[in-house]
Amino acid sequence: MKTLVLILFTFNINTSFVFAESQSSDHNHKRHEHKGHKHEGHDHKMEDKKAEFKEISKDKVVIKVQGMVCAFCAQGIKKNFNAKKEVKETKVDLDKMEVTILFKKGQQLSKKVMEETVTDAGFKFVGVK
Amino acid sequence: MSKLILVMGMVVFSLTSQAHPVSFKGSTGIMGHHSPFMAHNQINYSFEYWWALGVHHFQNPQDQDLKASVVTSNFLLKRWNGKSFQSNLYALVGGGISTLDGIEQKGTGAVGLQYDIEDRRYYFLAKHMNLLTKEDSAFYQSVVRVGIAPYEGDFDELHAWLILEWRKNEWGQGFVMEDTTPMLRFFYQNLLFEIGQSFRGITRFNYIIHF
Repeated sequence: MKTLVLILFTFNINTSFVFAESQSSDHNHKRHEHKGHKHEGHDHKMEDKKAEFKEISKDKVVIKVQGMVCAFCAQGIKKNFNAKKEVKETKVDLDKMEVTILFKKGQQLSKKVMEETVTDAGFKFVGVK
Repeated sequence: MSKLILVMGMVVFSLTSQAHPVSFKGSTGIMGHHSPFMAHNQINYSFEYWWALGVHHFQNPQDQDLKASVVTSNFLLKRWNGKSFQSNLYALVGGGISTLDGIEQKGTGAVGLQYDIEDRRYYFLAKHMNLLTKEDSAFYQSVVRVGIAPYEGDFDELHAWLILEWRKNEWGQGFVMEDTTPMLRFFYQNLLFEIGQSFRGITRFNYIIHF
């Protein structure tokens, strides 16, 4: 009997430990739900850190544009970037051939979208500074 | 004869104001030219940065019966985006109706080719266009423009240019006219206008707005 109690006690400790571990480090999302988003296929903590990083360090981006010599013609760049919901403000610098894009809080544009926007305005996207 | 001169004046000035046949994708451009011979207004919509459709209407203020309406397809054939310059090659094809004799409405075709290059200080443009009707002989127009900016303005500042335009117009009937016009160009953000008087004393006014 004493042996049986000892075995059951040991089993209980092991299962409790495994369950606790699964809640903290494995972060098994099938066991719980978060409001407004799904968790399949990504590391929740890493995503949070990335979002935080973007918000702090990527509230603006400066891109280099080639061929932007005429202020009248370059109005399209400003108009098309400002039309995007992620963008708060766009500034054009003809001297440096640069476009500064200020984003709304927590918002971003991918490099591909920025390149398409510059190309549609009729200029050459050189890259992100 | 006076009617012929009015027609010539109308055609001359109808084709010279197409400074920006294609603009940025999704943009609408409204532009016009006004002179004693011509009231020409057009609207272009750019479906792509290399392709726009335009609708033109022109009328001679001195004879309201002299008029034409043309739909054009404008193409940016090639663009060179340099480190400190931009250069473009455009083509234009179109068709519509006109009453160039002031009496009978006729089918009209239009074709054109334009090359320009500019940096923030200098500007050059060369253009050749033909206007064709079935029964009348063709009209040919060649234009060369050079411009210089007295200062390099910032993006949101008022920009000014001094432009000298040379133009040669030939009609199939053998009539040739050459004219040179010094012009002042101003633009601020998306509004541009030009004003000048040719050495023959003809006052011209061009405007462009795009949004």
